[in-house]
Amino acid sequence: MTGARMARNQKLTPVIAGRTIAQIGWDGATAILHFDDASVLRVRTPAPPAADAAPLEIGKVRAVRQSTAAVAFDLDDGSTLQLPLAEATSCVMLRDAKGAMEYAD
Amino acid sequence: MPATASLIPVIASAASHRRGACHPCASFVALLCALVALACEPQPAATPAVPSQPEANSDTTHHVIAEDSALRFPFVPDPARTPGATLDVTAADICVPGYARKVRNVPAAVKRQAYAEYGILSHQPGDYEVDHLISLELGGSNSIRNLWPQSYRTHPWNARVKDALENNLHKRVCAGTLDLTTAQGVIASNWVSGYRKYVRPTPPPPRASKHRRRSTRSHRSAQPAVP
Repeated sequence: MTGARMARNQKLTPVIAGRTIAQIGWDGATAILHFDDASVLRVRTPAPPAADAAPLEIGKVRAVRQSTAAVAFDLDDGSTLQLPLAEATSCVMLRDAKGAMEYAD
Repeated sequence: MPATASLIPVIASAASHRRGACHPCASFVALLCALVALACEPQPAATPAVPSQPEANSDTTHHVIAEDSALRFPFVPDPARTPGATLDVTAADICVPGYARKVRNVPAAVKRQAYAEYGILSHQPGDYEVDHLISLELGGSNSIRNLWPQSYRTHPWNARVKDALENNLHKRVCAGTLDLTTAQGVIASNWVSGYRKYVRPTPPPPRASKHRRRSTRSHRSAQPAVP
């Protein structure tokens, strides 16, 4: 499954559009995106980042695109944060500041 | 895989039938004959690669398997292909109204993969839905390991009946009378047995109504299941 086409994620985009990614951390192969409203989005990727990997883009999210292989966060400044997915589904989970589930795929 | 699986009992049977009664060469010849006969037996060209069905402790079920050609219409998943998979959620998460809507997300490509893994290359509306083995309402995930083409056409065990079990277990979990992990295990191991234990011990009577399931389910193109 290559998942080359990155379609707009119609469910997640309206949920997090306008939130700003304040910090990105890693827990093994899981990327943890901390937003300015204290919500947290976890993305399961195939492998932890390389030690010499370039820092990931942060900023205000404009839209989310997703394929079966990757998820991309289009930011207001025109840049994109793209992360590979460990599998086609079941890799992205968003919880609000209180820990309540907002989205999972 | 199913072809291999179906061979194994036959081979074992042929070998054990002659064990101790004949010369080893005779056993070998018999075994060879059985293999040749099987290899030459005409096979339906479009038979999907679907696993054998457990009998679910019921003569009725066994009867139904034959009548409904359950090899084409599975009513329990193959545990190797569909062991079940869950999200990292708690009972507090799943018991919030609207939870399943937030997590229901199966791309068309993944649905196609679910059908392909069961050897179903084409199907008619109303034959199947792509079912979450561990339902979303019980913390199941959208992973391919939790998805399988579940039949609408088998009786008495079919997608509609599994819904009743899913709802029952969800109520129990949210009422605090059943642990979420236990509920997930019940439905992942053998949902028919789970139905007998938690809903009712006998299979449900046939439905007179031909109403479809709610349109929020994974497979939406189906029409009323009418044999």
